[in-house]
Amino acid sequence: MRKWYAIILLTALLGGAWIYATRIPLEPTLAAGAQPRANFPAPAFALTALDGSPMSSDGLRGQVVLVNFWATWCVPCRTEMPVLQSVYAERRAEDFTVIAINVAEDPDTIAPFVKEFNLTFPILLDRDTAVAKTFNVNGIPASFFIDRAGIIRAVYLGAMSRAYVESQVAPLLERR
Amino acid sequence: MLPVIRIGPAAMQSSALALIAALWLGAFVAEREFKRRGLHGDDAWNSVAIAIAVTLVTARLVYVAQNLDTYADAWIEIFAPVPGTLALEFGAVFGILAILGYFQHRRLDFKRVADALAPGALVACAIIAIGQFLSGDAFGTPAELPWSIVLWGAARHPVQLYDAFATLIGLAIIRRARAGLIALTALAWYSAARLFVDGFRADAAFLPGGYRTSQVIALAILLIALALIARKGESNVQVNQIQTNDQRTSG
Repeated sequence: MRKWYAIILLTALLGGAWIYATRIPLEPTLAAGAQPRANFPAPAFALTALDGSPMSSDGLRGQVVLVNFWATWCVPCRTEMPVLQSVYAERRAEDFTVIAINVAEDPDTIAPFVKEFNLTFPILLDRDTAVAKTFNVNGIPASFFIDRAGIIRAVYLGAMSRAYVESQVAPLLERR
Repeated sequence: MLPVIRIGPAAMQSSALALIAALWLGAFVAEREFKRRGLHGDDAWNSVAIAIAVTLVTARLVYVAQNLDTYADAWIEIFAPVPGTLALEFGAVFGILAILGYFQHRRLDFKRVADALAPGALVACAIIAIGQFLSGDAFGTPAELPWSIVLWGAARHPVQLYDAFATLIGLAIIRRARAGLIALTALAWYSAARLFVDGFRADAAFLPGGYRTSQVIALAILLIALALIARKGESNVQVNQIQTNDQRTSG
């Protein structure tokens, strides 16, 4: 049994030393630069909105942002649009915004969709899919929750429920 | 990196596919081990099915409890098929308890069943690690090595592959373990592997001071597993001595 006591004690010492030696600074990913991934700074973008006005990510700093990639033909996108509109309307006064980036469609296709769902948040046009590629979007809908400092805090692929959106947005709004 | 696998018009997340493959292959290996040890193969599939069902249901219920205000206005969303609304860490605890309850209900010898489940569990862990490699999850710290992979803006340790490789070595090791010690050996090896490999992981939950939660938990489990192996080994030695003495006396 003594042999085992020695093995267990040695394991505890070596294991503790390894944990200590390999500790790293909190949020080590920030140094790697912008990446479309949770805990990395969000990639920058500049696009034209559906109403023709220019919009860039620089102007969103200080707000909690939900960047959502979508298209009119995408069924799950249709499912979650009312959820996005509802949370946006409810939380707009708290420095929360939704940026809905349409992938590769023209304004004439998008406008009736926006009217049908009464969408009031900004709709941006990514006609050449360059921003979608920067965000590594391989399927839609794809959503990125970005905090006030411009760090992505969650990424979700697929249609979101209201409960999910609320559970991601509320803690980010509480952080100052 | 292959986060999404496209089959025709359908796009499926590789991590989800890997999880399904891990559960299926893990249960398949467990069934074979159950049969090899004189147990019913159906019990392997039943235990995996019960674990999945209980994990999912309880994970959703705990998530709802954590976000009661949100669900109060939209209770129907409790049934929404949104994987993000699951408290999986809590669900997994209930899933394990459900398996133990099932074994108790079926009056199965726990040590024998645990030994039979161990190889399947290691196979499942290895496949999940490969899924993480494909999806880019659980990635490593930056490192300039000949085998580094470029991921998320830097050359990094391929920790997912370290994890899969270490787990597969564990499969070879437990083949040499004695009956009754196979599950504990697998647990000790896997904990030791996570303790070591997670030292190169960047995408982790951290404690204050930059210590990784997974390494601390792995060390605690490793020490418990070693203590249990020591106890079991010691009791086997004592049984052997008593048997030897009995034989001498009767001789």
